[in-house]
Order: sequence, then structure tokens, then C-alpha cells
Amino acid sequence: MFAVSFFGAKCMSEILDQAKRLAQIHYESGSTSAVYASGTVVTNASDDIRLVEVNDDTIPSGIVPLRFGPLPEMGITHCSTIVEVTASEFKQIQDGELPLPADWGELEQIYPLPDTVDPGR
Amino acid sequence: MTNADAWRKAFAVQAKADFETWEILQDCPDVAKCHKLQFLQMACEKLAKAHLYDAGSQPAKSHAYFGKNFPKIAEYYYARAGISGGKYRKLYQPLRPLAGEIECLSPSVDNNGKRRDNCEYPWEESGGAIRIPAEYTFPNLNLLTAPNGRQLLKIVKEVIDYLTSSQ
Repeated sequence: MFAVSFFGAKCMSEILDQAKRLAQIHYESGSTSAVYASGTVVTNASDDIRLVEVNDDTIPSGIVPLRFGPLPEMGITHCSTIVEVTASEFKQIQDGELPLPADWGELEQIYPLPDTVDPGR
Repeated sequence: MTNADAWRKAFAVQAKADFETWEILQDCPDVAKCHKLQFLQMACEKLAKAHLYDAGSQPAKSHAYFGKNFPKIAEYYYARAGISGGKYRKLYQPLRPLAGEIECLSPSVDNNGKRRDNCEYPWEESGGAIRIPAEYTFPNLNLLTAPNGRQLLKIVKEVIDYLTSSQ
């Protein structure tokens, strides 16, 4: 039992680390202004990365989950699902008007951290 | 349903099946990247052909369709979202090289011998080294981290869905 719990904790930490790494790569490439992780990444022992990325250059077409395999050469060893939305759509998600897939939990901003947002961006 | 509509729908349905297989294979770490990308290339080629039928054209038998027709596909898609003119060009231009890379995955598309890397057959590089698709990393097509990879996939997925569902 201890071993299972320990593995779960390690796995969660690893997934969150990789989620942040992926978020940083996307943010620094200029393809998103903020990245949010689904609660399943932050609080559950889910084995994949689930991100919502705000990008005003994307088409406002609702929730279109995109599935990606691991990319070990970039340090991403887990699969990921990414939803790209505009800022306006993100507000709709926050207001409950645009639902994420059913098994996605609450969102938590992971990159950039809220107190480090560059207001000029 | 006219004959062109039937072909448009047929190519769109097959493109959807190919794209769904590409997505399923993302969860299969033992499947070589060349095989995953082959389904994406096939999905994109059929999407381009479905779009041509939708636009009243009749595509010939060729694998070189996606790169050439992606501008029209993207223009149509962006226009549906009310984006056109300069803003469309600003958003679309960075996607175009990736569309060309996907088209080059077909072994019959080699840009006059300049691009021999492909998803199916081993090829010889200019220095004489023989490359094997199953062992090649396709560094130009890391769509997870390429700045515009997600946008391109979103357009492909959305247009396939549209062409599949429209009457």
C-alpha cells in the first residue's frame, strides 16, 4: 500500500513537472500567453498531461482537444492533451459557459505564475 | 447528393478515420514516429482532396496536395470565424512551412530530389548514409513543441469534422 501511494505521489510530481516544462516551452515560443493545468494533473494520479492554453491567434472554435505522444528528447515522457482557446473562450470556461471534457478538473495557472505575468505581453 | 458531394464526403470520412488513427497512435509508445506521421500525412492529403471537391474541382491522382492547397483550406476556415485579409495572412503564413513538411512525408513528394526523407522507404542522404524511416526522428515535425503545430492540427481536425458533417 505504501509503495502504491509513493508511486502515485512520484508520478503526480513528475507529471506536474513535465506539464510546467511543456508550458514553458510553449510560452517562450510565443504561442500562448498563459497555460493552465487541469486538476487531474495537479491533484490526481492521472498519467497524462492536460493543459488549457490561451492563444489569441487561435481560431475561436470551442474545445478541440489535441492528443500528443511523449517527446522524450524534450524531457516529456508522458502523453498530453492540449486545448487551445482564445482569451474570450477562456473566460467562458471560467464562467462555466464552455465546458471542458467531463473528466477534467479545476484549472490552475502553471505558466507564467500569476504574480510574474508581464503586463506588456 | 451530386457525384462531387459524394466524393467530397467519401474523402472527408476517410480523412477523419486516418486522423483518428493518428490520435490513437499517440498513446502507443512502441509505434515508430514514421507510422504515426504517415496517418497524419494521409489524413491531410484526403482533407485537401475533400476540400477540392467541396470547391467544385476534381483532384488528380497525386500525393502532392496538402502543401499547395492548405492556404485555401486555412482561408476558408478562418473566414468562417470572421478572420480575413491581413489578419488571416499574419496567422496563416507561419503555418505554411509545416503544411509543406507534412506533404513531404509521402515518398512520392521529394521536391525534385531535395527531400528524400519520408515515412515509408529508406533513402540515401547526400553523404551516402542510408536512413530508415522507422529509426528517423523527423525533427521538423515535432508538432507538440513546434510553435504552430497545435494550430495546424486544430485546423485539420476542425475542417475534417466540418466536411464530414456538412451535407
